[in-house]
Amino acid sequence: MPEIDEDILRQLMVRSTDDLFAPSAAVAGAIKRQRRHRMRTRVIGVAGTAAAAGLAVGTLASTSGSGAHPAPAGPGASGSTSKAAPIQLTAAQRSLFGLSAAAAKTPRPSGRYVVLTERTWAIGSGSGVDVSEIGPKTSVIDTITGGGLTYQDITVSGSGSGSGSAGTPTPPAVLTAAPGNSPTVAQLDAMPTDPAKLRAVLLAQAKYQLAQANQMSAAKNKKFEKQLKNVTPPQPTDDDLVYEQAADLLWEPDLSPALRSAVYKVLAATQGVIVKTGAADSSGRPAIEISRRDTVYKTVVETFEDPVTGATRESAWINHGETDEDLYKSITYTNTIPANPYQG
Amino acid sequence: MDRKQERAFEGFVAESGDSLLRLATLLTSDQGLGEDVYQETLHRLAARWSRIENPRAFCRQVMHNIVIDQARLKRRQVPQIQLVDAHDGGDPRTADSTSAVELRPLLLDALRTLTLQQRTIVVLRYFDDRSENEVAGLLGVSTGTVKSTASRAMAQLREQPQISGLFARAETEATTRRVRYA
Repeated sequence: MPEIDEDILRQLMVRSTDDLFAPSAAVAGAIKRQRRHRMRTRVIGVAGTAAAAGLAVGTLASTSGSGAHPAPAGPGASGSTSKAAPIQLTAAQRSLFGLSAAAAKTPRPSGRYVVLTERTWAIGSGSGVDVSEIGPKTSVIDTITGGGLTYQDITVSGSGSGSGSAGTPTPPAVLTAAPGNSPTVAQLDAMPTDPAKLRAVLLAQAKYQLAQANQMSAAKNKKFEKQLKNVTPPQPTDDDLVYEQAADLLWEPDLSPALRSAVYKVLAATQGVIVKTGAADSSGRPAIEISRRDTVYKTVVETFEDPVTGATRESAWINHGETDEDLYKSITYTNTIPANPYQG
Repeated sequence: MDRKQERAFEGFVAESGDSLLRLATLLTSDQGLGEDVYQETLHRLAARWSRIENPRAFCRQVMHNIVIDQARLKRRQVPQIQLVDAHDGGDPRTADSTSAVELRPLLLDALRTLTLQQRTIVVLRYFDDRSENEVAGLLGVSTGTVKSTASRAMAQLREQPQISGLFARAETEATTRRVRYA
């Protein structure tokens, strides 16, 4: 009875594995590793020219590593020695301290779930420049468990991976995130709100992640060990690492007022940060634009802040002509999970 | 991979991750190895995402390649005595085998007795529902080989006491259902 045997074996295989679920961390790990790997391979190619470039795009200077006592510096001043000049805030620092004050007095709304309506764009320059909206989505984050879900409007043209070719997967209407996918309020509240201590924590987190990425990359490039023996890829500076972590942290919607306020102070003490007041986000709302160009990978990360509340409205990642932008259209809090707004 | 592609990648994994992990577990016939293979497959998929038209087929191919690599590596290693969990040695027909936790060790043990090619063919044909042509294409063998290997693998599984017990139980259940609903 071959058919019966096959059916039974099929059933046994399905039943014996139906309690196995893929860990969500695997996806994040794959993406992060891919980002690092892409940047690293690019870095090896540009290492020589980057070293000669001696870029000095900073408009803010800090006492390196301390983060507690920012000192102003003009372009190119990063290599100069401090002459114990009186501390004078630059316009950019004043704007960041203004944001810090605004964030400190804006209370965190109550409600277990944060509901974020988002729009996301990708502007590519690879094989044919295209500007495409990936599709509106609404994310719901459980601030207690860090899990949640995302409703995607998959009817919008341009949804998906963008190539539009046969076999390209269509994104599901609802993505679920396991607990721990986002930081919980308890985890965020456990972070220090003293700027110097916060900077140290952000730096430690970033270094740990970098070490992990390097380790995985080294394992993967084992067969090129000989060729890479004499190649020392440039290392990101502490300010590079702190800015990246701080920008990521600002994107979290449920920071306490004290923590958000402290993040702006950390940015005010980070070299290379550029602040533009009077900017606007992609939907035309007034915003303060904070940006910084990574000294190693030449990636620019921009974040647009609400000047009144200090909340983050938009984030953009720009690398070699490719831009990805995420915009928060609205951030609300609720105690019940809302229904899918894109159905019915 | 830009963020747009990352979103599509996340969407694919959200949709297919569980079944890929299960496929990896069955192909390796080892839960821990299956997780490793799944993780490595995702890394390779992420690295080539923008150039892949059929991610599922790509994952299947990558998993197969990794499993072959591991098998080759294992052949070069000194054999080690493997400590296995003590299973209930009773007649599986009388046990409640509906639980995946109880069923899995029995099935994985039985799959481990097959050759790598037999196991791959059986898993891809009957778990992943691939046609004989697709499996033949993936393994680089003829459809006739797929057919005959599957048949031999089934016969071999039938000879496994644990598996034959499970087969007998499933047949009894199916017959009971047929009688009940006749």
